[in-house]
Amino acid sequence: MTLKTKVNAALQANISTKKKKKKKIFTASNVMLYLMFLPAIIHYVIFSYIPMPGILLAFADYRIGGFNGWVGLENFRYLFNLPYFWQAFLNTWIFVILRYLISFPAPIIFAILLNEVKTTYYKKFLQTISTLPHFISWVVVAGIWTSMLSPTTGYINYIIRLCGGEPVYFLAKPKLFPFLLTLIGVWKEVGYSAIVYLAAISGIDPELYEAAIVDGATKFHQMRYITLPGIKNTVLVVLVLSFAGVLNFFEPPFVFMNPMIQSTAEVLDVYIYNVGLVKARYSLATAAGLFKSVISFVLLLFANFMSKRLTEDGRGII
Amino acid sequence: MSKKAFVRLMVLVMCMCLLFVTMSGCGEKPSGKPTVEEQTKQEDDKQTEQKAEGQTEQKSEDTPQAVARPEFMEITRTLYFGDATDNPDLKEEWCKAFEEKFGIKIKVNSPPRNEYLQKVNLMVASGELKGLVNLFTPNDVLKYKDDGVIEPLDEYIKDNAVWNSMPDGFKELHEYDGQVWAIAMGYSGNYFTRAIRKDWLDKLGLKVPETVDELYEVARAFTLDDPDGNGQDDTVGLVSAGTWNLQDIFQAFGARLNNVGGNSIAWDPNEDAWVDSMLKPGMVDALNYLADMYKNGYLDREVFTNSGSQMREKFLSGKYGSTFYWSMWGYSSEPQIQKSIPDAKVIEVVGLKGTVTQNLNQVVTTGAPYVLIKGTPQPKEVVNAFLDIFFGDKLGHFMGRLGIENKTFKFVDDNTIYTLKDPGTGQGYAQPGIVSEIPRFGSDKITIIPDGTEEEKQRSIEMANIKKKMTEEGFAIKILFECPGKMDVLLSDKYTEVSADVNRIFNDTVVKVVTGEMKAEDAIAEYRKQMKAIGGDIILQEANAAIGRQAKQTY
Repeated sequence: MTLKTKVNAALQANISTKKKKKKKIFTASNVMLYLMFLPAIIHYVIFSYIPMPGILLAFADYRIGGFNGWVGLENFRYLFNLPYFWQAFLNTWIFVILRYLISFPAPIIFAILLNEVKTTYYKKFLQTISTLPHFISWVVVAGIWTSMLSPTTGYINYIIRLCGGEPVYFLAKPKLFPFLLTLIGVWKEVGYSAIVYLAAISGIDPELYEAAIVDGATKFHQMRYITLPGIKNTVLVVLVLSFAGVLNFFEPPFVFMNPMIQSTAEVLDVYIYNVGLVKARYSLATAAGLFKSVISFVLLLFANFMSKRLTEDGRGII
Repeated sequence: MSKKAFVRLMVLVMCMCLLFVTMSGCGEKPSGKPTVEEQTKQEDDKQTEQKAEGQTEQKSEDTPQAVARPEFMEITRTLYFGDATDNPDLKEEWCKAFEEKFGIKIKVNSPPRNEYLQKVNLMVASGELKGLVNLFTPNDVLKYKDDGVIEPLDEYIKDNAVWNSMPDGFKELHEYDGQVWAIAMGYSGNYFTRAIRKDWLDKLGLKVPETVDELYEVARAFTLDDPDGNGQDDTVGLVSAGTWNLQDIFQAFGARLNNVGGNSIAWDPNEDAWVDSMLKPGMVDALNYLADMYKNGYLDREVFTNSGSQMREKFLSGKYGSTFYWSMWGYSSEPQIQKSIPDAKVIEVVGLKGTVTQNLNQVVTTGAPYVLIKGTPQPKEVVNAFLDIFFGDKLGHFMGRLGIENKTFKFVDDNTIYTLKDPGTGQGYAQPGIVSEIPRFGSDKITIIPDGTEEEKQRSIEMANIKKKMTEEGFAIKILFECPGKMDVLLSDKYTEVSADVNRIFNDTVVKVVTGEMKAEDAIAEYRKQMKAIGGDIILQEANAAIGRQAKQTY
């Protein structure tokens, strides 16, 4: 056997060993990681996979009394002809657009601004008070803001009156409501959502800023050319991951709902709840839920495609 | 394990899960074979049925015999000693006391009030709930009947002496297609009245309003003339939660709302037919009247966002002059208002006259219905025990209404009961509310007085007398009226299907006009279009056909 052959054989053996090693799913080093992942798998199996055959109800006549036969696409036909279904669908998309225009950039901007605060105690104080609302349930948030915005006893209208203005019945203006709820959502979530961006900013090499200062870069230039590119990948991942659940939006509009703003506040999830669960029309609710899931699935595929296009290493999320 | 093998294994597990769940999910298909558990249950049911049939046959030959007591009763009712999580000790103690007194083990399910029907529907659909279940409206009973989850009760109760002694009106309340499908939880007349701050009227030199025009003047003065005399612009004429507490105004214009103020399809006593008041000329006047009140601030600006509890809290705060709510609530709320305003007084008006002067205010005689869920063990025994104990036995009835004897209430003599106070809080106890008043134990026979000072007891007696007098006068001047038969139940399959949409279209219309967004005529034209689209004509036809009439209106 020549030396070349021996070397080749050794290399082949080495490669095949590596390949074999790669194929191992459970190794001594990762078995703990899988164990930690196990609760999540169990959760998904119980709450996502086991109930999945329930989508068959969308094609059945299922009442309180039980199964009454298959009806094909009848539930969908009925649903699409309901007077407020498409209004609810449109309302949902209005909230989605506002979410990406206002709610999504807000924590990024907040994180960048917070990063510029140099006094540590003040920075931590700001971060704490901005994160706190995240831990208040939407029901309580609704109570707080309904009181704040009351035209008779609310603080905001009190200030308006002090300034000589007329009280505004904020929660009775249907056109204003989507913006109002989006802003309340920003107040509630901006601090908590900013944590991931703050972490990304802290990972940027400080020498880049030092070099930029030497080159005469202003704060704005530093943000434009160092901070934003530095967190670009994080922003993209958060963005594409958010697409799949974009239509899941129940609690905030539900807790603020009143007859005056129903025309803009009733989103798809609330409508499904009202026509399906409240009236015990389970097949109809399932059909609406399935319709929403199909759209979410398409969005997920789109997000995956975008992820492949936009991330530096071309990886998808699925 | 190789990656490929692991993936294969996972796929197999998932497929098995899906297959298993699909098969078990479709287990209740009519053609499917029953499981062992179902077979056992079916055999039990069959035995019970045979037993019941045997007993019935025997009874048809002999005199009626007392039905044996069940071993166990399950009742589902909201606001049982408060809401779902309130007073757990009282809830448990009541069940023990019931078992001690009547020898029947009892379980009372109490889902939260704000999602009661949703929870009950799901529990019934999944087969988890049996026994007697309290629903809210006759339309709920009809839905359960049509969905085949409840049993008709005729065969079980036809020989029950208590049932047979009840007034015909009570027995017919939930009779559909010739069968009794539910038992009302009570049978006593109650109605809404307009509660008004009497001390404000006196201070401003106004008389108690009898017409909507006079009410307008009162609301204006209450809002603008500083009735509380504090020099601040902080009082409002009327408070309401949506249209619920404005019904007397609609009635005065001849535009009655339905029995819960939720939409405008109602039985009109003056026309003896089901009509949509939105299509009547009076509705334009009523909406314009309210729009004017709203614009001027005489009507609470949060009228359409107030909940029922917010409406009550606002009136009790002492800054709002009037609302339309259950009779005697205004009088009984005086002490609460007096905590912050010592000289506060409330007076109640039985109804307001307007363009219509008779048959204005409906006395509600229905009680929320109890239905018997199919598959309940010992159904005949359960239903008969329920009737015998809660409607036939004095102690059982008041345990169902007031709680635990000698803890939450006590019999003083044959005609008087004191409701007791919790020594810990100094307040009265929450009540089980399993049943409500019935003629056999009505307020004309037994007086219920909160235990307290002599002054408080005297006040309770006075209030009972006031209500009696107010009711008699209300009927005498023909402002109060009772619905004959089941005229407050809209019997229409179409309505059952689209009632949520009907309520919403009605609300939209009222909100738009009252807040000044649209003119009444334009909003009503829009209303017509929307109602036509969802089958409003069919609703009116079906509702009138059910009482042997023809619909007089179309959209």
